[in-house]
Amino acid sequence: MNTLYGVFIGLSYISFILVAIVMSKIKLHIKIDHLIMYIILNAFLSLFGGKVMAYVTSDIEGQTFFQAGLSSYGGLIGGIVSGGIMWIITKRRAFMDISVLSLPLMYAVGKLGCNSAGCCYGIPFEHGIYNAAAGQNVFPVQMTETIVFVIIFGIAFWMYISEKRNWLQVTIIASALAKAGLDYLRDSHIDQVLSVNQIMSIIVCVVVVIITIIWRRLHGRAE
Amino acid sequence: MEEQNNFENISPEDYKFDPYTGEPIKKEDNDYNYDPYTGEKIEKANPVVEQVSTPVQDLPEENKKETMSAKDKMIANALCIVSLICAVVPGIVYAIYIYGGEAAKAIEEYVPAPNSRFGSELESMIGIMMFAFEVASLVLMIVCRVKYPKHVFGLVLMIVYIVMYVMFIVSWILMIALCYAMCSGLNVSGCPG
Repeated sequence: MNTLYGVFIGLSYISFILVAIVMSKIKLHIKIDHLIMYIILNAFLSLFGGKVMAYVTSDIEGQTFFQAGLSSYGGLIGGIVSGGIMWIITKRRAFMDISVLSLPLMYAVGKLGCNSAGCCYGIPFEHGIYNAAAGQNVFPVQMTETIVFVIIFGIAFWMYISEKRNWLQVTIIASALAKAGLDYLRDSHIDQVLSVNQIMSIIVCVVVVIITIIWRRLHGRAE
Repeated sequence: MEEQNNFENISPEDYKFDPYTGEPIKKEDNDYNYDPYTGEKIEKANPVVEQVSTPVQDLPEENKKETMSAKDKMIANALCIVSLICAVVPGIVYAIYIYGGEAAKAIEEYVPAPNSRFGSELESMIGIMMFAFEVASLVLMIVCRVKYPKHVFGLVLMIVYIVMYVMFIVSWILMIALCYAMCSGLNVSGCPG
């Protein structure tokens, strides 16, 4: 594991902790011990989800669970599941709000780790940045993803603070569509119509829409 | 009697007022204290008013004793014990796997070596099981802390898990720092693994 990759994964998690603390202070007022337990649970579930997804979707023969990398969608699912578990136990939606709101920022910081490790590099681009793993100039897709997802986080945060309706659905769908769109600029996407990440993005969008419709029918249009 | 009913001659120093009807009531000698030096009357606070002003329901929440029922204690204890078992089992299973693997290598000469694919899948299943058990132990501890916040065992368990988590983070940071220091010394761009 590239050391800077590990550093940026750690920074990604720290950004989640900062978002959780800020949101708890300014709006949600979560008990400190509940917040600490949620942060720990989120760490384990994000790591677990990222590892499982990377292991399941890996095409390397004989690769074990421990050798598999980290999948961003697996981490996303793990983070959301941790928010859901805390919601069920404490009867407070606040934890789900934190999970969803922190996702774009965590992904943006995590992509800096990919940039430092040289993985997930972009398509060949003459005016791009040299990548040692590709052996040529490539499009800086990791940096582009970082910028796009920081913008998504800013918009989501503003929507949340302003108590706009559907901020949660907008955040998830915007993140999924941005990831799917930018995947076309990745070198691994060459000779593919739809990559695994894009299929996952479509599934996430459909699932969010279905859950929203079902929820509104069950609970009315308050959410 | 006439003096008592003549409200025009009431001196506030000699009369107190019924808190319910507002009618003046003449103070009696035991309504006063007496200054030990001058012998002058010092007015006592109205005991009736004092009783009305401090009802039991005004006491702060912390002064009220909250006790768990026997059933709640039993459930909380069960949650904590199962959580502890889930936290410990992965380590035991992994130790058995590692030492069992070493023992298997010793008899490899006499037994056909396991299929490498089988070996990697077994290791992966153990890894997934370890993570799942750790998550389960955390969830059970959280349920205990949220449902039974006064339970001491749950509080202790939460503190133990937090300490373990902090130690894991610190060891991870040290590992990254050590790897960076070693790789910098060898002039390589990144560490393998």
